[in-house]
Amino acid sequence: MDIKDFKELTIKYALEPENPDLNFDMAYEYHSRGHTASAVTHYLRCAERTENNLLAYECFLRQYYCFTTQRNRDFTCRSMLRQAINIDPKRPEAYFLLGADHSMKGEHAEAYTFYNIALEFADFDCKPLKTYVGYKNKTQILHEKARCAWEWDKNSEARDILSDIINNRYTDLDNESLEIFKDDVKRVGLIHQEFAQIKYYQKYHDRLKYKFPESEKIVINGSQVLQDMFVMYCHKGKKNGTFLEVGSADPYFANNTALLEEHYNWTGVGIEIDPEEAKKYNDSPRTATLLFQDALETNYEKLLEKYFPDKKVIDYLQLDLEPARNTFQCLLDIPFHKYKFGVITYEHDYYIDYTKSFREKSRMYLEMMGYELVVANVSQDGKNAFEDWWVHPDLIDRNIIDSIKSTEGVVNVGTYFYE
Amino acid sequence: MAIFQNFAKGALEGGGDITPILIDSKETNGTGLTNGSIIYVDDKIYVNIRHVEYTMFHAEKVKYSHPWGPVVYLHPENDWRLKTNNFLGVIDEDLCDWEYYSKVDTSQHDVTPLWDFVGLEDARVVKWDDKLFLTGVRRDTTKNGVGRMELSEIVEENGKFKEISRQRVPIPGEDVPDTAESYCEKNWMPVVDQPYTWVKWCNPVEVVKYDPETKLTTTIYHGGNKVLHLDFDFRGGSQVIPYKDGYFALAHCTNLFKTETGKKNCTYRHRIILFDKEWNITRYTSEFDFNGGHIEFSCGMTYKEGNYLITYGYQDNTSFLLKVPEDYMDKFIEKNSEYVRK
Repeated sequence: MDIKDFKELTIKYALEPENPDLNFDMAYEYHSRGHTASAVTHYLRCAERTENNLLAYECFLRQYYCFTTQRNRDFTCRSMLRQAINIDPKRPEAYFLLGADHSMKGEHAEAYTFYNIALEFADFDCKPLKTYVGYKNKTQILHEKARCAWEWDKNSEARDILSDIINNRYTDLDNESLEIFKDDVKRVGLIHQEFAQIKYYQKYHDRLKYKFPESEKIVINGSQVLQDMFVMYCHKGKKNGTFLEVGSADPYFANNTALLEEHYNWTGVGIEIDPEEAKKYNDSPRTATLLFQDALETNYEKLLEKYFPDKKVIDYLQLDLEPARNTFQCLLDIPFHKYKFGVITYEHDYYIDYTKSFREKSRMYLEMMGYELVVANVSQDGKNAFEDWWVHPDLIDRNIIDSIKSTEGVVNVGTYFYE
Repeated sequence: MAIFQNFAKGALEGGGDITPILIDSKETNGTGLTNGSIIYVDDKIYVNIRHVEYTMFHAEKVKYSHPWGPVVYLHPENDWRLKTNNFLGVIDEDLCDWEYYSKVDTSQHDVTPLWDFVGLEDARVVKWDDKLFLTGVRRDTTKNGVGRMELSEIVEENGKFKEISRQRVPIPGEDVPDTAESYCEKNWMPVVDQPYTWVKWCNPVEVVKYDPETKLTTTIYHGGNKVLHLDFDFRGGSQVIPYKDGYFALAHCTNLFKTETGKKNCTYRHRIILFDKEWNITRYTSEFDFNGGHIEFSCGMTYKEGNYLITYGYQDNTSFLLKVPEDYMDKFIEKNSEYVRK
């Protein structure tokens, strides 16, 4: 609104200063110009004169922003939101803003409380407000609650909420929220999932369902969720096997090939883009060749020719990049027309794939390449599926395949591998 | 007399106009712009706006009071001083926007404030002896907040306004020890056509004149026992300007009261007060509001080409400039005032 239009509005207002709608219009115009004190006057006049509780409620939310902009008026800011709650305790916006206000000041427990109240009591199908007040939808509150839960050491709850959003609500997130959300997903460890490794220890051998030659000699495995045990089961404890490890990361921690190399004398090549991880790998006693390079810029045909001359069969292929799009892109670069892989562990990261598309794409592609899905939707917790395990039926014994096959639902590796 | 509501509406319907007066909010942090003053001289419409670093929260109907009460001044919670800045400028002929304005540069005369009310408050703009002045109350020169009217000469340089002199106007007799005592003098109404002259008080009328040479103030008229027996006070408002055979001004009337739980509340409305050439009050109008605000305050009224231009603060947060056709003003006074018996 230019100054002439504002003047026209002022004239209308001066003729009817008790009109709540004109007061709101004046307030909004002052507010948009940064004249927050004037805006407060008119929002308050509107609220006190309107019969419409929804409008009064909105006036207090907007006054909250006026005082927030002026800074150093914290008590008043929150009192505006409390006033709004008293006008309509069933709406979500004021709880959300109170939560956000506490959260901004590092008061995560208080913020969590207001988000919780909103989620418990607010009507999320209520009539929209006239203006945008910073609140978008229920998912936004869930997301913020997860952030506060994390800061308040309710870490599992934070992960559960974020996982729920990924699986059921991610389309509610706009671009701005999505960036923050992705960072949060990384921050709470949902991507690396290092918080929940499922290990094999020698003392568990009796409980191990899928035993293989010399499995009883393994003191501890290396993989995050028993991928190495799966590879060795499929290959019946094969010695001197070969592997291509795309996305090597740490040489031992949650590594899928350390066990193969050290206990079964496998050899192979790894690719890692992170310089620190690559250095750690190359400085370690590992004998595999680790290439410090971008997996998406790698010519796999040349690489395999160089490191596995005269071989057309590689026993194990690990594909573990981030995000899901990159892993799929890498899959397309693998020269399946020239090479066969006995076992493939493919990380589709379905639980944090915002597009929810790459798992299906990878499955269609690998089936076309002649591979058989053996264990689908691998997870640590029975909820957050992040990987599929494949074999080439020409290279793996059918009895082995049938004995371990699971393609329905989400597999909890812990309960799947152990009695 | 009942309160006359919405003076501005009548003025607009009579051919008037109204304009919101804004200062770039980047210069004010959005806090109150209020109590404007105006004068039309030398073909320019000068307007001074008081910027306060608080926001007034006034639940006029006491439906949605702040936890601290229906009327609260919301300063930064880490700085409760009442700080005033003045912005002076020239408004365009269409009364639509500024031609130019600036924050009045007071740096030549500023000293460390000694009290919590900082700056020149409720400044009225006048031109006396061909010099532009702001005259208002300052309370930051003593540790206990003694208020005195001040006279700040302002010059305009390249569209910016600067205070080049500052004089503290004593009350009459203040130069003689133990004869005059007053804690706070404010809202003296400058008489635009009588240099250095103010209507200091209205009932009884007291008119004072300051001598910039001797720095003394003398009472040039005192109504003595000519006191109107009223249940309200006339407190200073706009400048005193010529009107018909005498003068008139906007005075304000306060009603200070408390809620049932003892929290402060108030109204600030106006009356027009008319004087003859001898400073007798001849008429005064009923109490009125400009726009239905329970707190309104005017520091300025001027005459320009058949209209009176009035600036006033609205709820201490907002400023308006109202153009009142002369004819409407006359009729309003005629219909809504009482003559005072001589």
